[in-house]
Amino acid sequence: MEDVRIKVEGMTCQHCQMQVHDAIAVLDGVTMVRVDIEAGEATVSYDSLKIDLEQIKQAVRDADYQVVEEEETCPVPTLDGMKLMTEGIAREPVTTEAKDEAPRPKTAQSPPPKTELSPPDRTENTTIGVTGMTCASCVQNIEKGLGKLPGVIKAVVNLTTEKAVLEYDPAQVGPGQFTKTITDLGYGVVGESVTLHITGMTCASCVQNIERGLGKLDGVLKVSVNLTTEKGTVEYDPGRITVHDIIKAVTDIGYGAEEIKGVDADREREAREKEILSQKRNLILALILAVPVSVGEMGQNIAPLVNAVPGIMGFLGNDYFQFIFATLVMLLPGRQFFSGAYKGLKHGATDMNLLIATGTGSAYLISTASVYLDLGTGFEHKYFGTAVMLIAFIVLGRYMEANSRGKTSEAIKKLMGLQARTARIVVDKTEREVSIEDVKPGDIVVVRPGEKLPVDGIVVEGRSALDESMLTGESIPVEKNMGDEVIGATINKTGSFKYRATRVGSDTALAQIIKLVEDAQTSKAPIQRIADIVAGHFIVTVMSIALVAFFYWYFIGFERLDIAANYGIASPFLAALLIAITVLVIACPCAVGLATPIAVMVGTGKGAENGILIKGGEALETAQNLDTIVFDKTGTLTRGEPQLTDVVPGGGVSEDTVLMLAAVAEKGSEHPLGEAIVKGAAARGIDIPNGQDFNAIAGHGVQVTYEGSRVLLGTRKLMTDNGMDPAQLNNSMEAMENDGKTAMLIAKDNGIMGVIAVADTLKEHSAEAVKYLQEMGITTVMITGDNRLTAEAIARQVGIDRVLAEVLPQDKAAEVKKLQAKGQKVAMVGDGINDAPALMQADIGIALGSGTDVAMESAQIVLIKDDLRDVVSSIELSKRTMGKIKQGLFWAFAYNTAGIPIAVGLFGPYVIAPALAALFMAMSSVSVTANALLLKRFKLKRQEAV
Amino acid sequence: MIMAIQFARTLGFSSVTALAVGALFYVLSAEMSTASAAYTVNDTYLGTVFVFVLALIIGLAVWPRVLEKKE
Repeated sequence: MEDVRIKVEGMTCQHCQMQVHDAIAVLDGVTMVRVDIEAGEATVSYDSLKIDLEQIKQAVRDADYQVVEEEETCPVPTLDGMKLMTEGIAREPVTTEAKDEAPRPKTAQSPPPKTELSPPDRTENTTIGVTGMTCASCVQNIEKGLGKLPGVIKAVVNLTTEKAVLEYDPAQVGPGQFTKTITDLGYGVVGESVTLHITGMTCASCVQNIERGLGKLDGVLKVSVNLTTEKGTVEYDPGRITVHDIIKAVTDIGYGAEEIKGVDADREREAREKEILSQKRNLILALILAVPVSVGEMGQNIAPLVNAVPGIMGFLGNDYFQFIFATLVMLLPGRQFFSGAYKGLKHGATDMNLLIATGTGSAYLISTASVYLDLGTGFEHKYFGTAVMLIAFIVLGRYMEANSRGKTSEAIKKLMGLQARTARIVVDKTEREVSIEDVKPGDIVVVRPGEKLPVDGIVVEGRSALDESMLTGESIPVEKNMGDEVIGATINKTGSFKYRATRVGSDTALAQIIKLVEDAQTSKAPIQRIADIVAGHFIVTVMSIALVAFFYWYFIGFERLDIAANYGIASPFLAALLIAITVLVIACPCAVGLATPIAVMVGTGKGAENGILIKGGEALETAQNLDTIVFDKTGTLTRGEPQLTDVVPGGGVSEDTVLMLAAVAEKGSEHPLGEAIVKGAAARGIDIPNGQDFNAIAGHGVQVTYEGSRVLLGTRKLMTDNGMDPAQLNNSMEAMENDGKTAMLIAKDNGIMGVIAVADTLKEHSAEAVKYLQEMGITTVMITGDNRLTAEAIARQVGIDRVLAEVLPQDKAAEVKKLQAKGQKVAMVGDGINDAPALMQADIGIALGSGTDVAMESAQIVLIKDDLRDVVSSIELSKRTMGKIKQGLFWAFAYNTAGIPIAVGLFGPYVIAPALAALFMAMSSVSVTANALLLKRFKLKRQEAV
Repeated sequence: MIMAIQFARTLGFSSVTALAVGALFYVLSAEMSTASAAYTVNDTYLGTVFVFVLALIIGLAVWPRVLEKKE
């Protein structure tokens, strides 16, 4: 029997841990597997007659994890040596004994290809992620299906890892056929993802157009497009479609697209500025050209104006002058609407451009026709002014919208701006300034006071205080000493120090925060999907309403209301056309499309600025409805490490003497309780001499010899077993125990000297956070594995409503589920690996940034700081953001609901002129955006307190 | 190629729809012009063109979805 410890890289969550565990456990000859995600290693006992080390490593590699090289693999001498990692619930390895009767892997080799006549010249391997498998028969189905494909040499499907591994002849078959076969069988394929920067979108219909257009493509699995961020995330099957094809499809529909690789602040900014500049240029041009045309058109009806400047008014009112200027408006600032509408229509896509193009185009064309053709009575009046002012107002709206959109992404810009450009690293004992991209993990980075840290790392020399406010929102600088972790982008305030780079480039905490916030901002809140669908159908509805209104005013309204006499429009066509144009222009649903994404962007950005990372619109929407919050105890409500709390002397000695004796007994101890005593003594400035003959008495305490005396530290039983009576200190001890503390008696030479207590203490703001939540009407629950006495003592201190004590780590998720079954909307707040299932089970998982990566991955909200008041802030932010979304949607729909009846002439014809309708439409988008931006001024409770 | 065929099909259906709506407008308008002097031939022609274009646009937006659902 051999034992070995294998270093495994690439495990990021509990799921990975299970995958590695299962990949090894199923091997014949493996008798025991223990996988520790935090240590990044698997400890394996195996029968070397049945299996060798390389086969075990290969199994790990087959599961898509990396195994470090042979020389770094540590042999484990004995099984006893494997009594690792059993302390602390946060480091629980997955362990099972692999038994002979254990189920065999749900993988099988497919039958050999039947049609193959000769072995292929070259074979390739590919791994495809498969979803939707529930049992071994699913595995069989897929293996059989894939195995039947000509050219497939081997098809192995693993239910646990949800992967299909194929060996095939590329001359006969390709990944496209594999994914098609899998999807044809009714299973899903996990694709790759690409983020595109999409330009040219103007309203929610554009979002629908792109999503629908891409959704039709063979190989595209999922599409999510965000109007505000101008980004689209496409999940695709690389075997069937390439990124190039996806980009081409977007451009074919009429929009611009390019792949976003990594975090590029400059490119983002450039694109945004280009859009603003382009709309600004369009606006200036539109105003310069449109104002004379409009004055010329209106001036003809204002006698004093004509009399005052007859020459100028005559020139401006000239049909040919008006035609030339209007044509320039149509061709220059107005071109975007016509080209956009054309490109969209080619693909059956309708958007705001179509409405504008139809409205302005109709007014322009009829006016042009009446300049050059004799259309007879009623066509003397031209509508060039209407057409150009429509364009001018809409361009004004687009310019203001582009500016506002820039403001919504300020949070991301701020985060990106935090990155340092250069770093000073030690090369051959000399400091050298290099670009941040050139810093590698392991480099020693030198930072001077006032400088920004370029990458993440661990302090190896010197000490300082760092301003981490840019990431955590916490204004007080944090002390950093040797061995402490430091984060890139924070600012060194006081001393110089050196640190070893651990995470660089896209792995740094800042890069990951940016990615997380960007993803959140690209994701859609459920309410937004509904708004997008409504907006998507809105355009066709509006066009239909315009058509019906045209029919009505042409055939019925014109004569019934005697438009010619009452409004001076002699042509029924022109009378009906003006109504139709007004309908087309006033009813654009841009505000509907903007209301949600802008609020989500501002909300998530506001959170990020304050150290609250909200992973998407869905989390934001769910958090507002929470009515129960379950807190993990250790490490979440409490600090997670015991501290000295009480020292009660007995027998006429001082507190310091009692504490010194206890510290002597525990000096050098690695037990958390012992460490707490030694730290407590050191904190009081007590000199701790060395003891001799240290002896741990299992389950009872310790014994040590100090200056020739026997010192005992431990339980009542330890004392009574040694002939001492602890009755005199029993009351103090019981009081401590009732408060959830661990009380220990200290004795010297058969005389009890006192009692000391240690306990896991509450975090600074735990009680305050619980109080705020209760004020918000939220039920607070504490979940812990501790006994009820200890748990209730902590709960009393923190003021929690309900205690779930003696809950095993694996049962936490079940307890959350029970609460949900009662109809409660539950959030779970935790920090450890053991909290991950409960975080995922809860409606909202909230992880502390100081916690494990697993917890943070499992949660929808991550609090970068260790401040539980941010739980309150998250809920407040969610409520405020949803409030803004609802306000935005209400006003957007209200504009259209009120605007369309007015435009169709329900309250009489021409209550609103087409140009004014354009202004209203532009203002609706701007006002909805401005209202959402007000969220930036909202102060979180914690900020108010400060 | 597939996209071009789809577009041609959509355009065909949309054109037929637009022609039908345009023809309806033309007939009704011609009828009106015989009854009222306010309705000129130009109104009828221009109105027919406008209605045809609007109906064509609506058709181009609606038909792809209808055909997609049918398939």
